[in-house]
Amino acid sequence: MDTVLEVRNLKTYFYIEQGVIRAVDGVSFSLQAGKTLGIVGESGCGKSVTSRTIMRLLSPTLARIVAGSIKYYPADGAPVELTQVDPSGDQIRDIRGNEIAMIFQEPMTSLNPVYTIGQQIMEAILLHQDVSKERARARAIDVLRLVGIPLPEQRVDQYPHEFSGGMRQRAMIAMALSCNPRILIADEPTTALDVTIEAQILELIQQIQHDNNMALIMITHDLNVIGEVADHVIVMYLGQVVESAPVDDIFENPKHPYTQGLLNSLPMIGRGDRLEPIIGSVPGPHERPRGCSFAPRCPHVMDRCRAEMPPSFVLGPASDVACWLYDETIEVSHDAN
Amino acid sequence: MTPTEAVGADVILEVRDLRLHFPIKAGLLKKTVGYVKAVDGVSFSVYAGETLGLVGESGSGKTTIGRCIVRLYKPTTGIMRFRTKAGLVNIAELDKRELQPIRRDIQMLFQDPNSSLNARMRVGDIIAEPLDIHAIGTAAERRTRVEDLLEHVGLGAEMYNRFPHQLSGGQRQRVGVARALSIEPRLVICDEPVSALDVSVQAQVLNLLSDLQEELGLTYVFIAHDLSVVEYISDRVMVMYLGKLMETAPTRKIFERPTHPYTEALLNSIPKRIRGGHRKRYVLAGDIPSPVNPPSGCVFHTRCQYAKDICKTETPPLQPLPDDPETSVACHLAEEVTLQPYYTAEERRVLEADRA
Repeated sequence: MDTVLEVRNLKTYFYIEQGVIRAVDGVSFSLQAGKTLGIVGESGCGKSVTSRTIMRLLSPTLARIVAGSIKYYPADGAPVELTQVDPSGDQIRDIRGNEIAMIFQEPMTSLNPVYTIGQQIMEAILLHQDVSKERARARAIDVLRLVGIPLPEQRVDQYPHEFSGGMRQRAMIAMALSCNPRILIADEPTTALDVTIEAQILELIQQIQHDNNMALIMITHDLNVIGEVADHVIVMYLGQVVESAPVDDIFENPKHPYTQGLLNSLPMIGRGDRLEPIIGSVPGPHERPRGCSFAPRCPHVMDRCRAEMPPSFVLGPASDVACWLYDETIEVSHDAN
Repeated sequence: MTPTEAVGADVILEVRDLRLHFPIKAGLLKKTVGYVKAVDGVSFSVYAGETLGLVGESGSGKTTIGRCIVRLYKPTTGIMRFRTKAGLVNIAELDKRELQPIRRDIQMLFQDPNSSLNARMRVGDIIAEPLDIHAIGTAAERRTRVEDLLEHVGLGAEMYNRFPHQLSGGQRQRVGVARALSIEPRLVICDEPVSALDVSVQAQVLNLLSDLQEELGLTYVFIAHDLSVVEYISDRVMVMYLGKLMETAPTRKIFERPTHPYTEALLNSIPKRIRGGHRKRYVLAGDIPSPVNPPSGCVFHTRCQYAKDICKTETPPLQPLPDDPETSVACHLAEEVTLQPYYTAEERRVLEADRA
């Protein structure tokens, strides 16, 4: 299969007055054309920092990539090591928004209120493609029609406040798709939306993905969204990948106690049983526990968990889990790369 | 229905034809040019000790109803009879002074614990504030009461002197729960109490709310957009759309036998996982229309796949089903169309087999 993105042992730390925050602390995955990778985790797990690191959107004075690699494989040409490019240089600007595009959670705050929807979509097109203003405008109308906005010829000249929440998210998607990206990163694209609108948006994203053979990274805290769209899932907790597996294994046969806990916490219609929440709460960024970071909340915790961080144990061709409970299998180390 | 009509002894709150129309003002003289019909003629009863779930998309008016009940808003018209020790009182018409004793009985739990707790107050003082306002107990008694409450909601008395920013989101919502319960209310309006919380913490707060209900005999009106949360916690469910009630029924019936096409659309647009995969969701086209200019007839007819001519002209009343008085529905076609439940009979069999 065509790998388009390969992330290995990525570490992004924030250096602030109060100390170092290990926001992303050893994340690895690979992404194939036409496939969807789900990244799931609660607040503070590093899922959004991971995506912003890939896009090189983080301020270099604050956030530093301290280890690892992000290899992007363009349609033609040599692979690009995204950790090495200048975050404000030409190379990343050619890729960002053009080959790798992103949809953000809050369409309210990520659209500029003083420009029309059309101007904002055209900005991306004019930046990346050598076309006239008229052509860019026609393309903007095309993508608005593609995402199901009625009367796109009129809507293109309207401002974000004239759009409803679902329409704004559609406009964001239109903007992201305006340059036919090979990878789309969707960071909680439906979290602020009603369930009926969520169903519309997810269907739209999947249909466009299918038509363009686009790779998708779906970042969300919502396991149900993951279940619907993802092929492969990584579960993150406090900056680390605790489990990586095909989507059906995550639901039918979750291995890591955190994944199991998330599923047991989730109300499922018709289940009737009392929910079994994970005890405690996600520690703050400065309170990362020693050893396995999930140990203080884990129902299966052992002495070893509190002392030593577990490595990734390989359980199958596409499954691994970072938990000492699985210590009988062969250990894999991503640090070798 | 007239205000003197009898209300069942098990009813704690009876709402009749509640309306709240917000004026839209424009121009230099702030002339009223129209109304946002946030709640437009809603009637229902809340029974003592139950959890009544209130669901609907944003703009359906569910939060506005909650705020009318706690009288953060004064309804434009309508009756809300609340059962006090002295009998039924129409709280829709009370003024601020008359409301004071009622406020002890009806409390509200807010959505976002980050913005509903005063950042400059200590946790103990936040929880004690309602006790101060209602002048309950001596200072020492209040302190004991607050420490008890902290233990009760699973925080521990040592949290007394902390500030909200020192707590996690889940802990803050527990403070919100303790504050709402401090003056021993009988009816608690929970407005999206878990939607700002992480999944693992959401389950903790849901369980806490059920435990407290059982222990203290509380009645909840539980407002949420997440149907799986509502299904978990509610005994009965009311489905709202554009300021009107579409359907009300016991929770199990809502999911097993929806009677309003909007309920059907809502149920089938939520994710569902059956052995080996998530099914495709039904996609309800379009957005909720503007409450300034709601559609004529049935407000849902513009998005309803079953709509007929009568739906465009005549507003269907909310009526109990002839064969099932527990279920009321506002639909002209309720007895004609057969609607899809959340799980099909076949899916239900699969799930039950898997569970056994």
